[in-house]
Amino acid sequence: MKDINQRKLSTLTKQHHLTSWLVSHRRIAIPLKSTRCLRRWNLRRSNLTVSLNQPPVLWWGSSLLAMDVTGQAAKKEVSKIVNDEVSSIEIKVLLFARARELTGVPDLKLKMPSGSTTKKCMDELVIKFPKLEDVRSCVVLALNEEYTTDSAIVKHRDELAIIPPISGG
Amino acid sequence: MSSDEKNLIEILEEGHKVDIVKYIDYVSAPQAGAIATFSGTTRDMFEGKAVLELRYEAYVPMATRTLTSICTSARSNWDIHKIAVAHRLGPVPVGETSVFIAVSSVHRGDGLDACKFLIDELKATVPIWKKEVYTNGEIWKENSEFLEKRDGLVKKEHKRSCCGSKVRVQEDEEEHKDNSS
Repeated sequence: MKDINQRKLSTLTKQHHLTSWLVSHRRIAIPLKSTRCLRRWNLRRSNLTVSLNQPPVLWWGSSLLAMDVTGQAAKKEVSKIVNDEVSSIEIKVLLFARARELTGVPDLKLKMPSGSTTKKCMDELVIKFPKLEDVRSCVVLALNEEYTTDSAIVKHRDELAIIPPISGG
Repeated sequence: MSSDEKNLIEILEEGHKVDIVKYIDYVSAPQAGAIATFSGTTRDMFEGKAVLELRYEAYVPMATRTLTSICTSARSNWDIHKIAVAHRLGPVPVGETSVFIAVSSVHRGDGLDACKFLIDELKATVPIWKKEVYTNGEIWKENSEFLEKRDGLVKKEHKRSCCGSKVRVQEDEEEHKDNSS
């Protein structure tokens, strides 16, 4: 099977519409996790189909074009690609006292890449509201109603509070 | 009785005055020989400037949670019976009470020490803010207790006071302030 792949690939490299895809990938990345059915690829006048059988193969008409000889590795890579597309999270940010005055809003929703730290969230807030730079050095942060550190990781639907120096009592 | 039932923690909405009798009644008990209280009130002057009022705001859910935690700490350090803590939000004119703490105990030593601890910890950790309003401007206050303790809240470096200097007071120079009641 590997020989067939190599022959077909060498032919295919002359075919522009497949070059960037196959050559750059070397093996085929098939979004197995995101599709529940056969996925049809139309590249110019070709009739390209992807079979989701194991191992996953790429057909061009009735010809076998290429096959994922590395199996699992490709699956994981694709899963990662698919997961990355959906791995942004949304948190709620609360602003108090001087921080609220500087931004003009008491709260907002913030979309961040999954795995972001509270520091990264603060960086993003300062980009959105440059005036926050004024208080950046003196605020503390609270995550889900508890004081937190710069390096804490935020999760989807977390509540991040920007807390300027307090003055209760 | 669980310890939760012995703590009364109230963050009062704007316009609601602190009813200190209610809290003293709450902590009273036949077995408690002492009731120690602290009442924080709005002063009329700060460093020579006439204060019109203080305006309070709070991160209420976290403030309640932090106060509960402080009460638990107090109980682990002193032998006390009941605790009541109330903090008022919104404008608090001169002479009126913004914060009230009542602690009952069998003996006065525990109650008095716990009461001091509670107000000190409140000023250092509870997310409540006040703005001091003068005739010619206003300024966000910053508790020195918080600034000193901040490194203990989170593991950060190089924290300093800054918000108090950022509000302009008309005709006066900008200052940054610590506050203690």
